[in-house]
Amino acid sequence: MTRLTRRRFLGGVGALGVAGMARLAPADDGRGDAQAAARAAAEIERAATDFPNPLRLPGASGLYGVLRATEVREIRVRRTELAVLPGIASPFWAYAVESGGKRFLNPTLVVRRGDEVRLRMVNELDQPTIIHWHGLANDDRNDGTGIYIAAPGTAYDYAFTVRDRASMYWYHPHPLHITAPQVYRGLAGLFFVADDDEEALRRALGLELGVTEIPLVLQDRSFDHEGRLEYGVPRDAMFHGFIGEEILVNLTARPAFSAARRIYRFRLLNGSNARNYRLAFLQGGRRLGFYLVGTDGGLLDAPTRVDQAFLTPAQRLDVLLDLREARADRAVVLATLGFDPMHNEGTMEPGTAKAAAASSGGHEGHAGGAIDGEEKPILRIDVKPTSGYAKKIPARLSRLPAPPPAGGKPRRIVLGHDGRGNWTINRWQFEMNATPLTVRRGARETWLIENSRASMPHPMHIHGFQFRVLERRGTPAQVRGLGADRNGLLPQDRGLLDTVLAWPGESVRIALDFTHPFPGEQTYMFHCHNLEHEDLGMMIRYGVKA
Amino acid sequence: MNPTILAVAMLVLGLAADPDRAQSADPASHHPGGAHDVKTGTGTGIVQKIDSGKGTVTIKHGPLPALDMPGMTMTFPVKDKAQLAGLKPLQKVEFDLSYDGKNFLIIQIK
Repeated sequence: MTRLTRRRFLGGVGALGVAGMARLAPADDGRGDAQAAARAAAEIERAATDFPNPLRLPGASGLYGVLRATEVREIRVRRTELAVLPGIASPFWAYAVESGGKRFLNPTLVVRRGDEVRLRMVNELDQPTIIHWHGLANDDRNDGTGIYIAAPGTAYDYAFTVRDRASMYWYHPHPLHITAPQVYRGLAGLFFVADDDEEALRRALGLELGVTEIPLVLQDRSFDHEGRLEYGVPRDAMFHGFIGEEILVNLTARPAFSAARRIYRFRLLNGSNARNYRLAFLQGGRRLGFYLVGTDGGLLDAPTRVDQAFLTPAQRLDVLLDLREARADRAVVLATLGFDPMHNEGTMEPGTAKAAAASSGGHEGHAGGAIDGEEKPILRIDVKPTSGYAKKIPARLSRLPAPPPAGGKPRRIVLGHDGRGNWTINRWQFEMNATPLTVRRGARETWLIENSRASMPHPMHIHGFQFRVLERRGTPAQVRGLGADRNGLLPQDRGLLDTVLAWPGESVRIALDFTHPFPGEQTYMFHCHNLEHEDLGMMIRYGVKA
Repeated sequence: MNPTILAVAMLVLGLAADPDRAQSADPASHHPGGAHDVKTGTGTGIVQKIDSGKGTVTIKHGPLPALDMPGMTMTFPVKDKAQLAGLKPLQKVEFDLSYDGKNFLIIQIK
């Protein structure tokens, strides 16, 4: 059955009235109506035909240039300029590195598991900042929680050994209350960890970073009428989070990529402040199958074939797309399919969330009336008529550690709001001097993250430790339809995660192991990675007792 | 009608960016018999969408003081469709716009 909710209809009118870009069409929610889904897919593909800009890729220098993290001595955080739109200089904030006579902006840092990273961050901004190594299990001093911070004109030294499984992690700012604008203005980079399993996969498929293994950093951005990055979110619009008008990939607007008929590995990061994506590869009005091989914390045991997946802010997906399954005479389009963003679910308390929603245009982000959940093309992949590639995806990828055994009663984590436009965790709002949650070092805990029915999606991120998802309950049909098993787990829930999306009305049970090798007590953050929510205080400190 | 009010009304009704409706108004018509004088102004903006078939371009533009219009995103018919050939999405453009009290028309865009 095809459903077009009133909210989606109104959202669609808004999108058409303002940008005239994405046509709203019914999405196949797993219940059928293949024809409507095919029409919607074909429309998205048509919209990508005029994508004119070559996808930016990590190279030997410049933006996203690849560097061994062990060779980096200094990262300078500075304001600069970048032609995000071709030929138009825009103010841009970047992590700048000089190395080997070359200049790098937001370098792609690569390490091998066990490597030691020692570098200095120099804050040249006029406001505090700190780098958070997102997903890495560092001690709190090297995590970049925001407890330690570099004032303007000062430096901060990092020294840590990379102990984590191979994966694509990332680094970004984490200063209290100003993370969202700092990330938005440009501060974000990738951090690749390699190990034996990772190298075996690359050898098996003949993969090369930046050539056939392609990082895709998805970030939605808005531009002013001069073509400069634009960010301005009133306080009440922060209740929803920023939704930009354009979806950039690797800071390329309306990008295109030329590919051979072979297997490509796409390393996807949702680097957006608040936008969720329902990703699919489209060709000829149908969704191509692809293989999910890894999540936030590295490779799965074995590849899982899917044809769509949600990606929430801060999460990563590691996927293989076999373009030998695609036709060579037409493009493949990576798209986000339409979905109900559920930004204003259930009965909100009068004069509170509803009021905030109304003043910010329903579930729209602030700038330009762009909306979450609208279907849009993201990347056009032009397929060259080449052949001769005969490699196969390995049946086994890695050995995923078993989930920690459940111990005792789950710790309840309730996500809600305080009736005054603030999102809360167990009714707590962030206070720098309060640590409302404490766990014991070495404890194996189960957390039950319960998102209120009157809520919106919250991508919950824990610093310091990765976790496994054990169960989802109350999952919306549009999510459950994407291959959930009897415990409600989606294919992407079967890996190690550092961020998990909880939909309104949903309960997500996760297993954590608080074992660590560091001396003394540790203090980390647990927060919503909708960055405007984080800046509003949907974050708590938690302590790990020695 | 005040151009600002008209433009906002068109946006609210979703008319401005609807290519079918944009086409239903003859892109070349000035409605010279109307009671309003034709006003013209020059603007800058970023191209959002080009519809060569319908002869329209959607632009996120800055304020147009000569037409008493604030900055917004709007679809305009173009007098000479051939001018659309050189445009790309997200390109920065300058354009001359006329308003006859009823319809907007881009006279020149580059």
